[in-house]
Amino acid sequence: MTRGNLRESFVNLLNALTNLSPSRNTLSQIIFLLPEETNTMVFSFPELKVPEAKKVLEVMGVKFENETISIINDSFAYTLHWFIHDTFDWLDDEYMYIDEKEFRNFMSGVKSGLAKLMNQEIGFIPNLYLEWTRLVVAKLVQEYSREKIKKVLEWVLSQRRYSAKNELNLFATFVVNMQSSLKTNPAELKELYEALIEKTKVLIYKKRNSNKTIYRLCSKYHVDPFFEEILLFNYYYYYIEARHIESLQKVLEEIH
Amino acid sequence: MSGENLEVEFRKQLLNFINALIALAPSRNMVTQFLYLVWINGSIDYRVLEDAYPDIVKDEYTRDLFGSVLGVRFEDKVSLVPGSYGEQLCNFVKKAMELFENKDFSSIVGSILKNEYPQGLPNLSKEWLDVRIRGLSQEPTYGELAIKVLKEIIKYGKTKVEELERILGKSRGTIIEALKLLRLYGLVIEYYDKSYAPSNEVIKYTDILGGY
Repeated sequence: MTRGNLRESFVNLLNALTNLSPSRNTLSQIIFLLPEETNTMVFSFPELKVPEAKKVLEVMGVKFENETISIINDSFAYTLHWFIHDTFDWLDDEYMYIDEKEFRNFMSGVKSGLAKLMNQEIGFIPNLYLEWTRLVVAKLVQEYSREKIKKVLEWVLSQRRYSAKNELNLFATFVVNMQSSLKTNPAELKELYEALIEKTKVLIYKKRNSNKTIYRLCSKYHVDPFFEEILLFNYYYYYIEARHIESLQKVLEEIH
Repeated sequence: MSGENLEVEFRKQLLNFINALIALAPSRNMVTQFLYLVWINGSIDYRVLEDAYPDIVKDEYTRDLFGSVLGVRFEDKVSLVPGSYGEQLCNFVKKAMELFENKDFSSIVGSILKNEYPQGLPNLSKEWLDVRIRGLSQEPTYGELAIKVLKEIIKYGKTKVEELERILGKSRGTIIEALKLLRLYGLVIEYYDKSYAPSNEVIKYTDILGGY
């Protein structure tokens, strides 16, 4: 139907995805960081004081209450919130999906494939996850200190893959490893853990009669460096696996 | 930032956001158009897509890259890999098109961006329907007949092949080919009793057909 140029269509697609990324657009950033306390959001985003901004966000599915601002399930804002995660993974060669036989698969070589389709160098392909994580880390460095953030990222990068027959408590492992090295109080340890590693668990795969469940471990600022897979045979088997390793490594090097 | 500056900055951010959503619409981008057409059909014959999208399908190298990057299976039938990014992108594009159909959204955003969009925001669903009907009308073999068939289906609400044969005075074979095209473009729905009805978008925007 549309007889356009394929290369140009890919350029336009990537430009649109880039412009929708929370590192480039305030509306996306607001939606990406929800749910959050109203005071915190209004302090971070004074745009929310503009009545028109509130109206636009409401019609997209953002719910404003006295205490909190959240997203209505299945609204446009909800879909955008999760689509940003998908796009981060896709453009950082971390996109995971489950096939019919319930195997975990990755869309490999996305960046190099896009570069070839567009006849461009691989550096031309935006890495929106990396861009976002740089912003998050820059903010956290100001809040907590360079040294602390560096140590947390080093710990994340040293983990890679856990497996065990008993439920894995990533937070407990984090506390044991970081308490002496960070020399900080338990409250701050928890804050750092939630900011960069895990605040909530989001189910990304579960089917009826399936022995497999997969969760994305979501951090407050969506750095999301791990996912968790639980397999049920005669017993439960737990895996926790690191993601976005190359990008996190780059961010860590930039802190030095 | 002062209140006025905040408003200016918000307008700028909103404009970028809206432009990005519009650029993803299947009526404006060949990549999302191809994916969306496959997605709404579940699967499409390889040969049909080879004719319609030679830039994507004809060359093996491009086809393989396109498939692996977006999760498209090129077999006798072309389909999207469940859970692939191509599927997620279609799901997002669908939500964006629904948003642009929302009267509250287009009225609020349209009034904020009235300088940039003096005619109001585009209705991306209607635009996508228009692109499909235009594409259908240009199909060299059965395009013209398919438009006539669609108009009859709209007139009767729900029709069977036999009735269309009688009304249009055409053979069963040609009517079936026209119906195949209409299904491919997502313009009609086929029921279990082999009757056909216009798709919801066609019912909503019947006026578009006036131009054909």
